[in-house]
Amino acid sequence: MTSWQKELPHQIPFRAVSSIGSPEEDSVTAGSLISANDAGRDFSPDFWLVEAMAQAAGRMAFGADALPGQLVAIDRYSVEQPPVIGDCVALRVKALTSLGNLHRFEATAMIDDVQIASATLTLSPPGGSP
Amino acid sequence: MTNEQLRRKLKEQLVERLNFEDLSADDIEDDEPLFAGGLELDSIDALEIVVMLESEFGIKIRNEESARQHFRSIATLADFVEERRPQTEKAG
Repeated sequence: MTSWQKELPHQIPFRAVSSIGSPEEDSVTAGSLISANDAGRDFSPDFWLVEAMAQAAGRMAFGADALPGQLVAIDRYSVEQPPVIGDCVALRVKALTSLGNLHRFEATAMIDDVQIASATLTLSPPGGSP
Repeated sequence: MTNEQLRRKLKEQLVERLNFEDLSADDIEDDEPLFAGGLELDSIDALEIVVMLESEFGIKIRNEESARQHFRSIATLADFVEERRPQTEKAG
């Protein structure tokens, strides 16, 4: 098990990311493979993408301490092209700012270098919501 | 930019960034509380104000107590921005 798998509390089938890179100063990259297994559930590409973005952001915000976090707000969520089974989505999450225990991130999803979705996410530790 | 122009800009930014549907910049009083007892903003809205200050004015704020103190109203926010923004911008 790699370090990001240990740090991420989500287990299959709730793990939306297939890989997460090591966080850099203010950003992290991740991948999400849209597998055929997802079709067996009520697969919603919109939900899946934003969940994958949030899980990658969570690693940045809380991963070092292996703490759980929660997604408390989604803003400006836009999906230009929903992913389909077989797509390998590249995610890039950038930390925008923090205030107290709230952390704001800007996330983009790309397939073959073409942006397919973007969102602004806010995460907090459990009990840290407004 | 005068303090009055700054207040106007801050109101417009709040309306746009916080997606106020039934409120325009003209509806916000300079001394109206932004949080409890006024516009009823919450902590996520406060975070949006932090992002706005950084992107529009280059002002970084990380301290909750400082935010609580300066985010009381449009008037206190404008005074804070005026105090913190670079001198060259003030002159312009």
